[in-house]
Amino acid sequence: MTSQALIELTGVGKNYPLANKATDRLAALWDLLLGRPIRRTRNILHDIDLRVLPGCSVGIIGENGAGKSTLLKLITGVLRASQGTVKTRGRIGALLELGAGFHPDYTGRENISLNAALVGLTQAEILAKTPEIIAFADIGEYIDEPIKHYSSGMVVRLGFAIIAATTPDLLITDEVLAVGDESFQKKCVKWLENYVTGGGTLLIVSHSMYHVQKLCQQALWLKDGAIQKSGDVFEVTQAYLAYHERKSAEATVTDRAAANGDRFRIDSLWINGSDVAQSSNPMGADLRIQGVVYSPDERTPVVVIGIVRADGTPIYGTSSEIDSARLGKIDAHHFSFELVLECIPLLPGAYSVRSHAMDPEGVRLFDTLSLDFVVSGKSRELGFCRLPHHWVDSPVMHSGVQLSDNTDQ
Amino acid sequence: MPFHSQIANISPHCQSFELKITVNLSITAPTRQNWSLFVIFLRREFTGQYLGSVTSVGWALLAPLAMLGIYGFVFGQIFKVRFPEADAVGFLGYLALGMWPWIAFSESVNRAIKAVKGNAALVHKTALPHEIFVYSTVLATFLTHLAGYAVVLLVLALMGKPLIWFMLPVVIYHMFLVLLLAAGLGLIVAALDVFLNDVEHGIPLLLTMWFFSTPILYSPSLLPARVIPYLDLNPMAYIVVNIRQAMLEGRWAPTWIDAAALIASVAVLLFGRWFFNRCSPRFEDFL
Repeated sequence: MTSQALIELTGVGKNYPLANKATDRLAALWDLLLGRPIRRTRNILHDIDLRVLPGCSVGIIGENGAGKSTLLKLITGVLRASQGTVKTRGRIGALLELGAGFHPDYTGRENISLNAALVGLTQAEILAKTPEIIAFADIGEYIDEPIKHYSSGMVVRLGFAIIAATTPDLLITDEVLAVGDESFQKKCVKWLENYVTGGGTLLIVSHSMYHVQKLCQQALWLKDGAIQKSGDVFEVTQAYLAYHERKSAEATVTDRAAANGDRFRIDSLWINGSDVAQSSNPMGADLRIQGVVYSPDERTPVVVIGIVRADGTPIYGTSSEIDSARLGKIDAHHFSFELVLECIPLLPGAYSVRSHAMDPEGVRLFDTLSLDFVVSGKSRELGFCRLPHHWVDSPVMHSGVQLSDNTDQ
Repeated sequence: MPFHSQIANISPHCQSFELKITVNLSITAPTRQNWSLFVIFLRREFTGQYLGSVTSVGWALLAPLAMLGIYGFVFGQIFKVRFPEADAVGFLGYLALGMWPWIAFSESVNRAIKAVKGNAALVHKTALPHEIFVYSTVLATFLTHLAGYAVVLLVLALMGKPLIWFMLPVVIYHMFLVLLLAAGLGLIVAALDVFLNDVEHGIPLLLTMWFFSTPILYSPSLLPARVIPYLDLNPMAYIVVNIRQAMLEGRWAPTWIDAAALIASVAVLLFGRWFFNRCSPRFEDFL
């Protein structure tokens, strides 16, 4: 089954030549003509082993400059590996960054022909597919304008339309979904989901762990040009997020050291009496949030507390200043706070409490401390919060209510 | 996919060290896909070359005509250049016969300089054989000026100039050599330009010098006698002289020199391909 992999990278590395000075460029040219490796280079990727079987979806994550785009370029064949071998099979479609594979001076229509030819369609097939692509892209008369006059959204629409029409065996995309407008994004995500469930193979670079978890089963974390971790998407993304948290925690620690510890800050935070992440809080129970806040100048700080979803979407927030709450004074510098959220209407899922310390004027935000918790329960309701509601049994319509026949109400 | 074959081993002996170059000619088999791409780029070259200009493709004819007019005026009228070879067709006709092959050659090479750089956006994002950029640019430019040549020959015929028409295939054959040379040199300058900006300035200058050292504005008989035996080392001189001899005197008797010229033209193209394909995997790094 070894030969069945769509992508097979063994020991792949990529060096970029140092090419700022004319002498370096000349030396590199000379090396190339002699068929030997370029001498002055910088390593971007090294020791990459990767096998992607048909039907797999792999998310590639990592910090800026970790080599993600270079890896994609190696796989699509735009770049040639400096070490190791890259083998690919099947028809590869790529949406790399903005305007992937588009010539800025060519019109939309010309770029359609070009890209369709690049994925291996014949002229006749291209002609047959063009109306479908134009309809999907939905960019009106811009189709006969040069690409350089397009907005970034239009470029992505056209690129995606071409991919959608040519259905490659392997689809490689860079952070592109973020550009289109809402309705087009929906169209794309729906298409991608169909593509993946229909057996398509997807390789996606994204900074949105949400998208990666949604679309991929596996993930690859690149760090400084090497694979830091690969495997199950949840394991890898969690390790990646944990790495980032550690990194920002270190940054905060150094911040604090720099500020000599003399700033408003949250010293501790508890949910229902515990200062570790809460595994289970039944839906509809009270949530008791307690903590200690530090004040450098003996004045009472303002405490802000918010509830966010695991992906960071804010749900609700309030502050001791908004509610005119009084904090308890422990000593000259430490104040206690306690907030009870009654019968939390959150639907089952992962959330976190974020607490912030602000100056007494409520102007500057100094510190953030968060604590995760899980709301457990069985519910098929949609969304993330239960709104008080009731259904009226067998309602009778007033005679004044008109039954409208247009559907766009 | 291209398959690699060891076509030849060239071992030029340089003064102190031996340089062994393994020619690894990747024969980019003209797959259906590459052919489609080539057609798209070629078509685009024709529509895009003069796009945005009012007179459209007319410029391709107008520019050489203007040059012909200027040279004709300066050398024919002011300097009153006279030589026996030009007596039958007049100085302008004589000039035109040699000028279009030169323009087809020099314009093709000039435009090839930017063939890769001008498509940087595609080099950065797509995996296509970069040679296609050069071939489409060179062929489009060459065909445009070949058409201009046809028009000029037609005008000469209508003016009743005594051209020997059954020698036309000889002209076409020599124009084919022009195409081989232009493609070969085009590949080299396009690849060089990725590494060195100077190429954009240097090559046009070199081509101008080449133009004046080729007997286009003058006949070879005006050259010093000791230079004449070496004239055939300049491929464009060889081509221009042969075309004029054919069309004006009906003379073309192939010798071993002509066989060597054909082989050399093919060799220039093959060397250009070798040079280009040695560099092309790294274009993305340097653009």
